[in-house]
Amino acid sequence: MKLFKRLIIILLVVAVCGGFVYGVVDANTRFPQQTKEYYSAGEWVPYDDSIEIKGKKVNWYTADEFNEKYNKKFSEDWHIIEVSLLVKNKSDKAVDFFMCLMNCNLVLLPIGYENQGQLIQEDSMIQPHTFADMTAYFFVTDGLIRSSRIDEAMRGKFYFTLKTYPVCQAIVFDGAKEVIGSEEN
Amino acid sequence: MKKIFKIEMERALCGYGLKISLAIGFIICIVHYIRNVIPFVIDPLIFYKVNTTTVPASVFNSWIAGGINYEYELYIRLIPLLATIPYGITFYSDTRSGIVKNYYTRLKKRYYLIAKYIAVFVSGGVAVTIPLLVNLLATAAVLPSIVWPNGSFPINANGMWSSLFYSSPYLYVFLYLCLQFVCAGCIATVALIISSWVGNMFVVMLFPYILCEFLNSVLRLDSVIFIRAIAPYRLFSISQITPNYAVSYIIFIVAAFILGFLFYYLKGVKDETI
Repeated sequence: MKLFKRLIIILLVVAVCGGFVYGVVDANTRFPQQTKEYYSAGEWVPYDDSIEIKGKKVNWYTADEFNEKYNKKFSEDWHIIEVSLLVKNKSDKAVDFFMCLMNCNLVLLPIGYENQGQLIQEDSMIQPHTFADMTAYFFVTDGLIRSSRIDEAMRGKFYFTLKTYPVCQAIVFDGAKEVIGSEEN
Repeated sequence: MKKIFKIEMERALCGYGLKISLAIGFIICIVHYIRNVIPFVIDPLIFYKVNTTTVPASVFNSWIAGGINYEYELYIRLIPLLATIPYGITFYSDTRSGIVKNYYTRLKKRYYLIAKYIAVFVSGGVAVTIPLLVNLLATAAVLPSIVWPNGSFPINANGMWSSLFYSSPYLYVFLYLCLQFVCAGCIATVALIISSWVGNMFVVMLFPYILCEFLNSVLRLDSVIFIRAIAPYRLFSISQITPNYAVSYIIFIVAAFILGFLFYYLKGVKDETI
């Protein structure tokens, strides 16, 4: 009787473990890890059929510096990350880049900062078969990165993420204030 | 020492207290699983949109400690009770019933006190972490392990070990569960500390809970950020909706050990029971 009880327990444990392993494998087969499609600054990224994007540089500003440069009035405690991009409209129709930016985000790894950005340019329309310089900016408040971690954040990698899943498509900048490439029109 | 340690561990881990505590924990975790995980199992792409920064439902934002949900709030609040129920009151009951005299006549007093402390610590940690671990494994068996900072994961750049979360999320969860084990163990030993000072079993059992609620209310008023983070409802939160700080954990754990040493061990050794 005791042996039978033990056997039942062992079978149950084996069944549960087997079910767990099967479940983990199945879930991660149906939804595997993202395929990484990283581009460095200066490379053209095929965003969709109509738009190609090239990352140019990332600048890290204090709010004072940013306010002075762009005549804005952001809180002086903030920091602002500026991402300069060159966007090519390959299609025959005008494209609103702001709609594209709304689906992108800036990620700082390894620390895990994430935010969505806004555009400096008031006119975000790109005419057919033209290039346009676009500058996105992202707020860094104390609630997002506290002041003691700012240095660590600046030394990290900046991922301007265009898509996340199943392909993680991003332009990667190695640290802030990196300047690569020149403006092309 | 070995013998008393074995007896105490057996009493702690095979008693009804631990079973009751685990049952409460499991009920909360099962309710969470039904309400928050099953809907994602039915449709993991519920919040996913192609060509955006969204991802399918993931283990790390769906398991009980993966975000804000009613069940986890309840769990965090009940941790002091869950940790105390298994074995926290036995020092009080042993002393009151006189069992402790049997031990003291057969072995050194400090052996019994140390064995009791370890047993209470371990039983508290086990009672709190096992339901969470089972919830994590059950969620991992049905949802993919995808992680990417896109606002849907609870740990932001201010969170403790955030770098680890976005590089090795399972290691992060494992380490946090270990930390949770230690914190729950510490809070369970508060019942030992209070046992010598009060004359009612329910006061002993409820004291850690009341102390935690008191600390939750008082510490949130503090202006120093890491003192504010010692509030137990924040220390016990793996999800870090409000970021945690390593220094807060160190203060909490060291304080618990020092108080345990002073008011449980030293007092226990000096007390003339026989």
